[in-house]
Amino acid sequence: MGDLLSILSTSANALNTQQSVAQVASNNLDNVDTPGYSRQTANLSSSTLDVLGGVVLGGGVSVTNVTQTRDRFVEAQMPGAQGAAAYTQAQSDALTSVDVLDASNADGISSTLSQFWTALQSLSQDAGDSSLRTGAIESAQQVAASFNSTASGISEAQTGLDSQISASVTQVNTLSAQLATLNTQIRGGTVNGQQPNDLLDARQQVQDQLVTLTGGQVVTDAQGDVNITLGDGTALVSGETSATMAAVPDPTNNNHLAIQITRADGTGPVAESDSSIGGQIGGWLSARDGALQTAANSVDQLAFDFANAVNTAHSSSYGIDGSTGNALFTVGSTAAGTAASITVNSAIVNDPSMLATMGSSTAGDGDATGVQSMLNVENAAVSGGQDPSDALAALTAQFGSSTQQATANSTADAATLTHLTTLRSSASGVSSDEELVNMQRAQSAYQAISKVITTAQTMLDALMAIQTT
Amino acid sequence: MRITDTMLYTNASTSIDLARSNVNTATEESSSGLRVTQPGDDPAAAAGVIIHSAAESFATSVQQTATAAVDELQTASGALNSVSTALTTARELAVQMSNDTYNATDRADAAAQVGQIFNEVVAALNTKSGDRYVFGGSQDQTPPFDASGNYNGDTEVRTIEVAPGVQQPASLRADVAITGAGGGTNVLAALTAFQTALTNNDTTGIEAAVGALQTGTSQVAQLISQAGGDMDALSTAATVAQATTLSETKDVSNLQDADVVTAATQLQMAQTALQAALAASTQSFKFSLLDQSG
Repeated sequence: MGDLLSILSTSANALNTQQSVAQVASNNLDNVDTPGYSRQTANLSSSTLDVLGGVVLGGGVSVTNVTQTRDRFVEAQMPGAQGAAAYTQAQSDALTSVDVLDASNADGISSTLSQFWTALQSLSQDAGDSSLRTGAIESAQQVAASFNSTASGISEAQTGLDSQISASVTQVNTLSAQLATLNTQIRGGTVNGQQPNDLLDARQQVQDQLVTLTGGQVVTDAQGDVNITLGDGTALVSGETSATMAAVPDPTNNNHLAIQITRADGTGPVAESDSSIGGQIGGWLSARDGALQTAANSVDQLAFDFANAVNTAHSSSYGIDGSTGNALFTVGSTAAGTAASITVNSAIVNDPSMLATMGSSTAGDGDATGVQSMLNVENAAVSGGQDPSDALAALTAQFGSSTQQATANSTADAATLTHLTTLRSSASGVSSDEELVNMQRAQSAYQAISKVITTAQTMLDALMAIQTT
Repeated sequence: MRITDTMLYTNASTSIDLARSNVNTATEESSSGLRVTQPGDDPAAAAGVIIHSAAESFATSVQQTATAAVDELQTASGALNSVSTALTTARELAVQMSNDTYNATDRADAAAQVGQIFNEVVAALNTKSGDRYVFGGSQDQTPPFDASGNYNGDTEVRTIEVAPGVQQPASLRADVAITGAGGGTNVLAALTAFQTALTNNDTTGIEAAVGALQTGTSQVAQLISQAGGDMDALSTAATVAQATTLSETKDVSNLQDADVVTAATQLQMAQTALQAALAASTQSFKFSLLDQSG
């Protein structure tokens, strides 16, 4: 039955409840810019005290639980957007960092090839002139050097990506293990409908980072565990266990790093193809083995075709010392690696009279038949049906298109992610205005309840006064 | 939509970042004057820059070599003119000496004069341009004619590729015009024979020399006119190459260079956008219950 003492006791409960409401609001304000924090709400419910003669009397208020606010629809879209944005961003950053194919590069292949043809053109008009011969050999060395520096610029970008991949793989393993541990902790912390909110926030953050790195798919199962699988279905995190990722040199791919997974049960390792990895690591892999490798192969092919065409002309001509059958450029027997290794025949560098400018051994020093046949390479379809300049233009355009596309994709994916992040923040973020209002509301309720206690106290005092008179 | 504090600050920093990045790009473009620095900026333009730069470089080297060849042909042409003058003098002398009024002593004096002329002609034919002989074909390091008038050069003619696949001769064949290779008259041999006929007081020989020297003069005249033709062709090629260089340079510039006015306008626009982003962000931070509640 309702009595004055029960008013006091329910009011005391209500004071506690309002303190909790104020504390939740205060905690939200404390965490207004904590990364990964989702705002919390104290869920209140009124309680029934007693039923008196068919009349239900209220029994005050209590906090049922404190829950996080998350928009499941937005959260479901986040992993895909995070993976895609990280993938294209990594790809675009990797490709735009390469500057050896810039047309404005004064030491680039385009410039040195032009200088080489100009030097040969001058030499063709006075083939016996020793300074022109030395000039032509020097310009051939510059062509070789520009191929070398272009090849090393591309391969440095590739090895740079390898070291980034290696560092990120370590990070992936740490995060996978953390996620598995958090799954265990969250299972244990979820009791009687009370959520371990801080653990949930921590898991969300680990999940965000893991997805950004690997582009893995997130599946939340019936138990509430967060599982992450790679593109080919290999599980990275499965409930309370996690797999181990490793980056190992691949001898079939110039010893660039390849990704392997040792499953949670210890089986494997299984090789992961580039396409099954997304996120930042996937973007690096795709830039390294895609556009950069294509550019490296094209530069190798151009160096190989150009050198062989010039060598064919050179070796069938004669030096002013009567030598013949010499190659001007030293290259291997296959295109692979040519750009990095191409040099000018050291015998010719040491003895410019070996530069094969003459058409026959009996011709005079001024005979430029050999020079003319080397000059013919300038406009001959020597590389894939194109002359050297056109082949260089084609490979530059191809690399440029890949870069341009990656940059455009990156901009679009970043916009999608920004949009979703805004929506997530709108649902789960803390608004200081809102929390100040909540604090104010709790304060008003607190004051009102205090008034109730004072009133009940006055009523009790009145009662006590009757008994003592 | 519910606006949270994080959104407010994230939006502010995102929009300021974007505006700053645009200002940076616009500044780079304005200061470097380049619209295409990386292939990714405009792949087609980057490829075009390579092709047009190669064409520009080709045209520039054609212009240089053709101009140099014209200079050398002028030297050669000057030498041939002296040869022609000398041959004309010799032929006039032959006509004069074939007359019966001259006796053996007169002809012996004339023989000495012809010896002079012979030396003059050989000296002219051994003319050098720079450090090489212009009439020796590819044998340009040794004098093409020795003191007896024997030819030590070869039949080589230098060419310049004035356009892809088009070879323009840039040197002359002295062997055809002077030694009569290919069925002509050996001019120096004719002079020697004339001198011998004079020494021997051989009027038949002197009369024969008139015809031979006449043929020789016209051979040299033909070579001079060929030199003139070559010089015309090479000058034209140099002029065309100069125009090509200019137009290719313009093409490269059109593809690669930023338009100064557009770049400056874009920079101004980007700066205004940054200012707006900064002002809007500052404004949005101002309104909070925190300022209102005591």
